[in-house]
Amino acid sequence: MGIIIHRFVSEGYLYTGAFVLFLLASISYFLHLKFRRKLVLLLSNLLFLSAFALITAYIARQWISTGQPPFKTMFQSLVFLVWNISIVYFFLEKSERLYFLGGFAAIFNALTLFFAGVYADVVQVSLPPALRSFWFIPHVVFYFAGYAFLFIGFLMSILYLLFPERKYLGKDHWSGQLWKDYDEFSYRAILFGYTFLTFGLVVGAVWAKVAWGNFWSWDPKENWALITWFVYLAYLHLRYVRGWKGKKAAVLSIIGFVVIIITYIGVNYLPSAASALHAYQ
Amino acid sequence: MKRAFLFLAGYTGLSLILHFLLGQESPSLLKIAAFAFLAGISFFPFRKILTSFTFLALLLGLIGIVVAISTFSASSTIYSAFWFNALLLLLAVSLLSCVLTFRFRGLRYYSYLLMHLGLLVVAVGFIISGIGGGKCYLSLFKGKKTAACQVMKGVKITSEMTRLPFQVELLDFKVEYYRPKKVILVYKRKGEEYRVVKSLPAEKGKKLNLGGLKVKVLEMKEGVPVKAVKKIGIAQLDGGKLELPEGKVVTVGKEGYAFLAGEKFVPHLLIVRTKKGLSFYVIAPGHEIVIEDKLLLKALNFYPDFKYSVREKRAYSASDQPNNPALEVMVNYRGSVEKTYLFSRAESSLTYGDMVILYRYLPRNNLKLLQPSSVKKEEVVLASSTRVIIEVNGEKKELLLNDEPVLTGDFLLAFKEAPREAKEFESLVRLYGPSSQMEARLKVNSPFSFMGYKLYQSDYDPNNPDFSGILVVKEPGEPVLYVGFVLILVGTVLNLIYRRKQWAS
Repeated sequence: MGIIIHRFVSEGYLYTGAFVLFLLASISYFLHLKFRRKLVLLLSNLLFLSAFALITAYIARQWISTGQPPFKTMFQSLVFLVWNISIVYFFLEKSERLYFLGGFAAIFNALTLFFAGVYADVVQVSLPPALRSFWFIPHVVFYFAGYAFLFIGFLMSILYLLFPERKYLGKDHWSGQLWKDYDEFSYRAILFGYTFLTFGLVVGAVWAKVAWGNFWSWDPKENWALITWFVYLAYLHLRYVRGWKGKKAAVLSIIGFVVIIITYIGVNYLPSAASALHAYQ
Repeated sequence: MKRAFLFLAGYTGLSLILHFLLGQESPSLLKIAAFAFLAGISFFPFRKILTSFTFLALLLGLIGIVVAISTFSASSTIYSAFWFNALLLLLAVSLLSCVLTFRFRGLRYYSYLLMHLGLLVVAVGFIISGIGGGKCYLSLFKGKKTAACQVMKGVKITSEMTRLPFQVELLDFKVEYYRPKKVILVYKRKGEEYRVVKSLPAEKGKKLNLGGLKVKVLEMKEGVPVKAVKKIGIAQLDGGKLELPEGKVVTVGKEGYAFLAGEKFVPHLLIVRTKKGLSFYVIAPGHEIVIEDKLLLKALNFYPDFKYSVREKRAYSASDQPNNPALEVMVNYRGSVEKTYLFSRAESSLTYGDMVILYRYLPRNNLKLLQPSSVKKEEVVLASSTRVIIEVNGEKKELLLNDEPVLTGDFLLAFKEAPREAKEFESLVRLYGPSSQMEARLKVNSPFSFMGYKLYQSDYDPNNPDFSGILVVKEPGEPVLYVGFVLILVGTVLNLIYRRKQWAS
């Protein structure tokens, strides 16, 4: 823990500032659920956006100072995940009035920034030749945008299972917001996430052909990415063909997110990771 | 459910039987026929089962589980196995069966059709590549021409060789490295060991603020001389005057003399071999000597019966008996410092430039140690190094590259150069076809096409600058695959548009 704190503090004021602001934003969002004051919502938005601005500046500073897109290491990718979740959440808040998710998204971001300290880069990493490609940025961006949407979908599924009685709530309930059906909303987020995953997968295959000579190498990361894609493919088909909704769909969405975590983090701990093509440092 | 399960079990069983019947080395024509047979017997009589949702879920689940399990093995071979590819083929056949049953209209129909057709086209592309394609690994050496290529199975290079229809000559090979980074590594104490918590680039003005530690880089200077003090003892011997550099053994007549301040008996002999010949030195734990005016050697500990504990990560002596005498030394050569061991018994030696250092433990020697009447000190410049001046919690400190670290409280600061990393590597090759010749530049991420083959820059050997590893891939399904990818992506986007329209209404 001491080491995490030291690494965390040493990332500088942009990083620690973003953490603190995300933490405050989450408190403010939860207070807004309780008191329903417009002013509180405004404050929450302000805190969340400031945190987002700081983390954007942090990523930009890293990018400029190294001259390389900062998506190489586990630590960098976690920071980029926070950035993506911020954008996706804010987009959803504005388009769908999903205020109640704000507290969860903000606390998740704060915790991710804190525990990313475990993976903090001790030595600045240079991009190996294979990653110095046009395809690097779109591949990573599609995947992380996808992960962000699927995370929101997962959050909605959890909420659905926790509070099923609030399933079909119309306007003006509880916190005075326009509530969406958790289940329907989870599905929509998953559809967006699935679309991004498909793009990431195809772009990855095209890049793999250019860099390694094969579209598909049955690499552990590729295998788990394929399994992830299968799970969400099954989710969508079950919903469209078999009409899976509610509890069953929520469980599948949670399974999908667990598989994402295996793909994203778990794969690095597999015995096959040492010889793998994709592995975080 | 039952029928779908039975069919899948039957199909898998049949492909496993065929897998063992056909074996690894069977002619590929027979395998193609077997695949066609499997596709035929599933498509024609069992099309209805193939479009059933339960069946698809079972099949996807089975493939998913197989793939998941395979990731736990470091070298799985199932991906090229007949039965596994038969399962993938079944997925494609069931996809085709489903597409044929689509009864939708408008945007929905087109989006569904494009997505599924795209997947089908991708499957066809992989089948074409699987039948007519191949992959091999070409080891090129500068100035050599070859057509011999090692066959690859997946990402593994086999010992089987194949001949390419053209020859490849490596004209030139270059590796471009990133500028090596010099960094100040910050370690924090945790119990008995120090762990790296952060690195700070050794550039003027860089700052670091950890709880309890403030570091600022004030200056970095290259070409700083690394100095050592050489002591020379002056003694009277047989009426003459003898100058003895500390540690060095000098022979006068048949006798050997050495000077090592305060020591009476020295069992540690160092033999230094250079192009000029042999020279001898003596040393004892706690002393440091200058060898050949180039190297500073400090003896730290002596272990008569050397053993190493892997768990505790430290050396120790198992007994007092000289079963395996070893001397722990710190060597400063050209400004870089290392801690290492010299062994008496094994034919082990240390090499620095043109110097080879051997160690002999001699419990009974007839070396005479002289007590000189006066000692003069001489400063020797060993090499030049890089120095960084930093401010640690307001205090000025100096660190030499790769030299001993500085300790402040719970922190340890060391000045290191990170290992160099390749940025780009590039081969210039000449390709000799039956009717044409051409030169090509191969870089990572930019392959070159020649006679239906694609050549990829794949590897380099940091120890051999004349070697280049090239992948040669023949993939006739490539254009088909690109068509499939475009169809999938367009279909996916159309599906999103269709769904959003649906949500809006």
